Amino acid sequence: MTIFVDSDVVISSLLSTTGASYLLLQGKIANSFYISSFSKQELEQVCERLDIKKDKLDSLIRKNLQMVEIDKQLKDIKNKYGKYVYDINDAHIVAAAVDCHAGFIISYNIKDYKIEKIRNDLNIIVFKPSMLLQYLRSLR
Amino acid sequence: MFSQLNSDKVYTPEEVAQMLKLSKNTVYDLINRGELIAKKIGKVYRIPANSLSFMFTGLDYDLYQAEKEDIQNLDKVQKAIKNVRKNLG
Repeated sequence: MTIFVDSDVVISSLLSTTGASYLLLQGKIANSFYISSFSKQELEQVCERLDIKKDKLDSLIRKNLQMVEIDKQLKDIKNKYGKYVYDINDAHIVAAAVDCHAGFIISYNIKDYKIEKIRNDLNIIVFKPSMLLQYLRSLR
Repeated sequence: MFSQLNSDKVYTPEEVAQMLKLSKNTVYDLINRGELIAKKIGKVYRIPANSLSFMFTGLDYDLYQAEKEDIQNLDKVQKAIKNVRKNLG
């Protein structure tokens, strides 16, 4: 199971150890989670803005997340994947999920993704962290 | 609707039947099958609000609470991400 994790979930897991994002990323399916080189860049900047120690982010990435390198230009990504999002700046998340062959995108920002189109065209399901946790429970 | 329920409160099978638009017998069936967690006190059942979480939210109560925990910080997190994303690349 390959899961691409949006930045709001990564940051949420750094802010609370009892939230759904933390439970998901620290759970037993670690190693299935991916972020992209673009995500890493934005995560570092968001941590700085929110006064989250960079060590915490680095440790989480090292232990629980895998990285997919994106070598395309952001402009090309927006052209190709812009049709899957309501906010064009989120297009790189969809692009990275496709690149790492993800079955899921996990995000709290569900309203900005065209989830039906993503599921129909790309076979990727967009879920909130708690929904994925509930789904994983149903598989037990 | 679940947020309107008082998580400390308990409900009778009749109240739950009314809330879920089910017959009283169906509620008793759900209790007997273990799909609805209830406590038998003497001869009657009482159903804690927590047991109704999945039916209203699609989430077990602990996951519903965990999501609420994240949501507390979400506004500032998403604002920061939007601002950074605008200037990315």
